[in-house]
Amino acid sequence: MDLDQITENIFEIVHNVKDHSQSNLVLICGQWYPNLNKLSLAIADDGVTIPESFRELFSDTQKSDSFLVDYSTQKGVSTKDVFDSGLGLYTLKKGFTKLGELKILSKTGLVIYNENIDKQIDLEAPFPGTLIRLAFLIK
Amino acid sequence: MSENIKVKDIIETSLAVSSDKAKKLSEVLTTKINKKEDVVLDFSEIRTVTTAFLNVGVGRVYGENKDAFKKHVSVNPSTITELQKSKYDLVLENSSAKRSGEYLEKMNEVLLNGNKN
Repeated sequence: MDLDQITENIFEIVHNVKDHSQSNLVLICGQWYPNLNKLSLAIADDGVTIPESFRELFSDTQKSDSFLVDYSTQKGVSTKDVFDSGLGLYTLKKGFTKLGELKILSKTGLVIYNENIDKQIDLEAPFPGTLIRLAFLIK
Repeated sequence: MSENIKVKDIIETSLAVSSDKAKKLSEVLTTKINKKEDVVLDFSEIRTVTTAFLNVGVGRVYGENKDAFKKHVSVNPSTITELQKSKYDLVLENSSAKRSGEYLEKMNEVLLNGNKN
């Protein structure tokens, strides 16, 4: 993954925060592992979570938080009431499962994707926002 | 005769990321399409493109008048990276699919009853 691709993915995530979380806060941190040639980035906000956004629209849904977080990564799926939306997390997932690992934690819903894993976990305690962690090798 | 439209000149930055900047592009495209003028989008010197930018900049214009968009708007392939072009194509496909009317019905079905598949 080159620098422009990394930048592109960070902007996709930050824009998602701006559009969906209603949070004015975005935290970004990263760590470089020189021996492994690996970069790990985490981007978090303290706003409205993905499960909460779905439940605002579909108050009767009985789906778990992890199901709703996973569903938000499907093509075209968005909680925004406009046709032209729903591709940010989809492109992120599509790109990263080939290159490394993507984790999304929103409220109690945690999803983990890489080339071999597509996992949904519901945590006992909620995270107060959404956190996205990317880990990948630098070529 | 097609007019070359350099995206960077319209949005005045090499970062095509915000929907506010994208509105400038959609306004230019809408005007050109309404005048039935052909345009070629030039993405040279654009470093970063997000789907959020493309949704507003081209997706909405495409969705509102698909036939006219196809007739009058094209992209200069030598000015756009492979990743950016794949996002551009995805945005047009999504714009069309979500206007088909089945999208909300499917979302309702998934969230209230079934599974994703």
